[in-house]
Amino acid sequence: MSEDIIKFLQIAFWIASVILVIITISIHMFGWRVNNKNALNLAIKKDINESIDRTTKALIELEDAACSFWMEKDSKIKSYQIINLHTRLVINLKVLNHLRGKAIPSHEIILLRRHCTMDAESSKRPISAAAQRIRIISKSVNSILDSELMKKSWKD
Amino acid sequence: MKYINVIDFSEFPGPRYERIGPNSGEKFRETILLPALRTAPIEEITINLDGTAGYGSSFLEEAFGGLIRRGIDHDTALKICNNLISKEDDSLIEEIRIYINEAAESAKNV
Repeated sequence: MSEDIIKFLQIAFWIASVILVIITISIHMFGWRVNNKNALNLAIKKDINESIDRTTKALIELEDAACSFWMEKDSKIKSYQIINLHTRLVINLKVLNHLRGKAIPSHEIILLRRHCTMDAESSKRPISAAAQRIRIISKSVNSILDSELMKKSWKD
Repeated sequence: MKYINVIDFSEFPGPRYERIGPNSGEKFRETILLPALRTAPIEEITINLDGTAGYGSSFLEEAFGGLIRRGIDHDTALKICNNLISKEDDSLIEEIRIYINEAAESAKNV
């Protein structure tokens, strides 16, 4: 009788041990999954924030170059440099669009290219800070900075 | 099907007119676009804008808006936009459409 009880207790102990091991492994795996997910989310948020910083820098570089080109009498900026800076801005915006899934402000991109580069090789320069071209460049830059794509947030 | 790669014309599309600089929008229109329009139906012409160093608006305006000034009708010019490829910068297609519409508007007012 007592042998039966001991045998039963042994089996029960082993079963309990196996169950405990399974539960422990499951908890660990769940923890790892949560950790991985959090790490991935944090990495994406970090990438997004860095990408916003890079895009802001590209945008300001373009604005500075365009303003120098159009407004300064002896500007060292050449028209092809403005085209390059605009292309870099679009590349940065596309990365951000890929990371966030939010729309690129195309209308402002068009306005910027148009007013930064249209007839840059043949138009009369320098122009005044009050000229429509300069105003539209600044307004487009502000609109892009203020777009949903460029807003820093911890929510997404 | 006629397939035009702008990069085959130039990796560095230039200014508006050839007298201002090389690889101009004017040259692209006169040597590539207009001959293509004369030899193939508009629906069969595809233009790939990708791969270049970037476009100045004067190149785009002269190449595509200039089609209207060279006698291509508005609808035909707009149909080109339906077969434009620009994976690197979608906004180029919309900008070209704007220039075609503005050139047509200007032509109407003359």
